[in-house]
Amino acid sequence: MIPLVIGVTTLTFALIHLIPGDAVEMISGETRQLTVEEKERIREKYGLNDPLPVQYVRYMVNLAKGDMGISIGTRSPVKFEISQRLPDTIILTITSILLVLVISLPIGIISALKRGTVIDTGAMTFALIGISMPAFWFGIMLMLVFGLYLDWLPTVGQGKTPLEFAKSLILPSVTLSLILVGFVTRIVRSSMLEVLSLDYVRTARAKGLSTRIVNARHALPNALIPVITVISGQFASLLGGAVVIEQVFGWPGLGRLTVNSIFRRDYMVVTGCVLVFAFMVILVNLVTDIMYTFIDPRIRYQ
Amino acid sequence: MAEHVAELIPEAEIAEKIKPKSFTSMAWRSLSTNKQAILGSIVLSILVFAAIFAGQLTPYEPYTTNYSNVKQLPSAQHLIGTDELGRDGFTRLLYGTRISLTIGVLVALCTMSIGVPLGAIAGYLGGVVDMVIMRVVDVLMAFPFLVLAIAMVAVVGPSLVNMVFALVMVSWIWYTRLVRSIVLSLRETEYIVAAQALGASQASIIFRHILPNVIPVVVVQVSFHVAEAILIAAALSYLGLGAQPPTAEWGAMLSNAKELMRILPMLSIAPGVAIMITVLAINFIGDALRDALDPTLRN
Repeated sequence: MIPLVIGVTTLTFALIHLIPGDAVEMISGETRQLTVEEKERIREKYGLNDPLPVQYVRYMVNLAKGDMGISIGTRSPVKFEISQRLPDTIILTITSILLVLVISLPIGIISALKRGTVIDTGAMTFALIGISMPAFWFGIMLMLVFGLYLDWLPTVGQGKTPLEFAKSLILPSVTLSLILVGFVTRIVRSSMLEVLSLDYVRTARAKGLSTRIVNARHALPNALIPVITVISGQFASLLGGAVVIEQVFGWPGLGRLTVNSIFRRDYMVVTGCVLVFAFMVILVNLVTDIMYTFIDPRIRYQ
Repeated sequence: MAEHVAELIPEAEIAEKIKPKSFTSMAWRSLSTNKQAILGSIVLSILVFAAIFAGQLTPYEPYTTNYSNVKQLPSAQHLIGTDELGRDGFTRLLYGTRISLTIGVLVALCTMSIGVPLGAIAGYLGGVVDMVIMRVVDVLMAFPFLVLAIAMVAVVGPSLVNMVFALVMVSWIWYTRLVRSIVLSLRETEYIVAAQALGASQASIIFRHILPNVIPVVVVQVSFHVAEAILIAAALSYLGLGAQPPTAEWGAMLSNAKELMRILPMLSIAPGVAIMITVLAINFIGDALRDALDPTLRN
């Protein structure tokens, strides 16, 4: 965990220094060309002339204090910029995960119980199509149908009032959920099939329990454990997808901030965002690991 | 009774049935009887054909602007209409096949040639080398793949070539992890230990005993990676971080078509369908390859 955090921060530090031209060159030309002396003074002030190891230590110490530098575009702290956008990305991803569960669980379970039937084949075909579809294009199609033709939902931006906010959240979150729906449905199905063939399920049936109770009480809870693994493992790809989908729908989250900052060449914001994305992934994996001990007693006793 | 059976089944056929089959011939049989594989291969062949003969299949040029012919609705002359610069959408779609297929294959092959040796070295040598490689893998894994790719593009600057470079730099870890885990598990198997005990050289163990087990898994991984890379490349180009205008790339075309969505929805629909068909065809082949090459899945 700690080596990982150090590794991640070192990589973002490396990214900052790999970018051609330092921060001063970027400030220069923003409003007017700075003279050589002015540039040198700024470099001295921010310690950009110090040896790399010194800069590295300073970067790490600042990060530990929560200081991620200053945005060149807005002149406000990167921390502030990110804290403005982060909640929107979190809301979007959580809504999408809930949607994935609502869609994938029933379909996956029914496919497993009706294995080999038309329902099963149909569901699995849709899952494969879902995996093969570019999510951002799916978003554009939803926009076309529900925004432009039917005019039911807003296509771009974020609503101000709670109701408008909820309405503007629908299309982006449905689009984002597509990234995982096909995948998770497949996992639910195969995990359910595996559990259904186990001895204890057969025992439960043999002692005369109804199929419904065996499926719901005995098979399902155990079949869900791999699903949690998969969703937490795929959380990173969900965040990655959010970057593109926020751009499609003009959703003012962290991903949109990242991409726009690249075009503004506001690299302190870019690396700050990249770092926050990585921390989110590390945090989710940690929480999942802890959650396991509550969900699955077998892990606790190991 | 025994005579009866002998009469019913000709001897040659019995011999045929009990004859041991080679791995490749069994894999080929599994592939050639797989409906998805056949469908996928046919579709992919058509796409490759379209990519190669794009210039012959259409009378228009993908990059020539024609201001007397802008924003034409779909018709017999312009199957999906023309964009705001009067370029034929279908022509650009055909040329896009070229770019997407090339990028997919290029990214997958380059990534493979970096990731596989690293994984083999980590798994086979173990120790410090393994630790260093796997630490780097762990760090890269902590980033959302697309975010890291975007950050790499930010470093090297947005362009088609840089995007390929960025994708390779962030996706080799998948091959490394995969190959390392296979090599690690093989190293402990009895037949490798036996080969070592018999005095087989390092090279002979690597090339004769380990490599044949790694190749099928990597082939499957590459086929899925081609599909994945096409999707990712389209997404990055859509964001403006990959192929730059006026390149006829599907993702970039979708980004361009967004402005015209109200009047020319076909320009937004068609590139996405093209991506989907391509990726689906390759995924079909990948699924079939996995079934054919993984002996544990075969009946």
